[in-house]
Amino acid sequence: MSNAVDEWSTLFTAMVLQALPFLVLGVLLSAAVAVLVPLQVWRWILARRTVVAVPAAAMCGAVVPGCECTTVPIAGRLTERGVPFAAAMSFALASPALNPIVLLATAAAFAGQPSMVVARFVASFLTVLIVGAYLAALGVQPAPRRSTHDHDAEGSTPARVVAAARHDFTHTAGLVVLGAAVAATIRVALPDDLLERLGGSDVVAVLTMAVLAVVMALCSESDAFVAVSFVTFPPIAVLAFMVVGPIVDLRLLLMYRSTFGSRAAATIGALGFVGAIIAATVVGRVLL
Amino acid sequence: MLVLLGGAMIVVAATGDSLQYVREAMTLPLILAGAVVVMLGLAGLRGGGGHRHTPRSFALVGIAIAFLLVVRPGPLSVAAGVTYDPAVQSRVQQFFEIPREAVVGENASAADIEANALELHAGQLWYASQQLPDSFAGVAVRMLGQFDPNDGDPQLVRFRITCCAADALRLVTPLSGELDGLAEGDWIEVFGQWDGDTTTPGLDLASWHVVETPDHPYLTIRDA
Repeated sequence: MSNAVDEWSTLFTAMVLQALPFLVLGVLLSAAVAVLVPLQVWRWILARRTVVAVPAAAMCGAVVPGCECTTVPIAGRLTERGVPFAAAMSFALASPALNPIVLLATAAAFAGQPSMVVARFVASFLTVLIVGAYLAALGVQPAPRRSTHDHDAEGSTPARVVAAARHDFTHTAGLVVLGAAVAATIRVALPDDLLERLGGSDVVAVLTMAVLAVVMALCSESDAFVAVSFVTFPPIAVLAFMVVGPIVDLRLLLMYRSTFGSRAAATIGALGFVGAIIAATVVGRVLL
Repeated sequence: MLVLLGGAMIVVAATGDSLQYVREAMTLPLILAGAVVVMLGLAGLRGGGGHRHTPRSFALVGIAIAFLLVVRPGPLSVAAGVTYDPAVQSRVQQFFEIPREAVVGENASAADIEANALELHAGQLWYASQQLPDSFAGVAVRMLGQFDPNDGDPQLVRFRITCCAADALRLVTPLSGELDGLAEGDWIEVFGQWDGDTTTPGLDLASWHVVETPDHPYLTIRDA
């Protein structure tokens, strides 16, 4: 029992500590988005037709190295600035799932299996497009922020940046802590031999790995190294683990909920989970 | 609270405590991010008044502060439920050169082995057992890790992290030899020679010492 408590403490502390610097970076960037970049620029770049905006935003995300804790606050501010929700979300999902650092890490983890890197890229890109397209088609909108701050508009530019960053940080930091606590609890509670017991059929394996990705809530930069260690699982399930994780996990769901409201978060979560599994299965069948 | 959180991040990074949770490359980002959080906190205090509504969830940050400054959990231990196939070792295999003095011969004395040992980790041991089986016999090896009694098949455990302890891979090296008086999780430095196994290479022990928990408890991606 005391072992479990020790392990929980270490995992929890590690996940919080790992996330905080990236969250800080995210709220600074999102504050800059909110305050420094004039509205017209965003309108001009992204507020065009959604058919163009979703793939364009996904491409933008793919070249900008951002991790989950960084991009969700940015997407929140982008939406606030009038960028279509579907496009802002495509950017937020693509950046952690597709950026070059993640692909390099995947290549390093799967040395000698370049097809895994290609499969990850293609399947993740497909997932982002699926989620973006559905969000656009369904016309999903985030809940209006209860606290559209009057004081955001007051004072000097640096003061407004600080106020916006402070607002975003206090609204997400607690959720990062909660996400870490839940993920650590599930990690400790999972029986050791769960993987061996479930590693049987492809369907069960893919679903297991998808659920594991959600509960483990790893950063996209490091998940490939964990994925590669699941040697008893078929490659297609390992791929599913890496495609689902950056799109939807416990910590992300909490952040989606606080940034966009429960309904939008549930939609993104469901679309992301199902979309990622379908994309990983199809791409995995073809490429692996 | 923001000031406390930022302060805790700086303290944990500056004292090296953070190495028990995240990789060393995070030290500077932690200090910088901590400074930003302190600044955000101070700006809030100075601004004062107004309608400053922090959400209820922000109170959870207090728990994180308590863990960083008061609970200060230790690094992952062998009892951690992170279970992986021994084949994980093949993922961290790494090339290395065998210096001439480490080749002490298969009948070398314990003192000889200790004096000339080459420090390796489980990934390097795996590499050598696969790629250099002929030249690797008779090489004196030193390894560092935690003792795991493992129900009578004792082994040395070391974790390799990518970003943080949550993504740790468990690397194991079977140990053969007398290992009395050790408790699960004790940090030990072991000296010996490769046992000839190529699937899960282990060490035939010549000697071992209990050591303090090292400053860098985890191997990182740069090591392995």
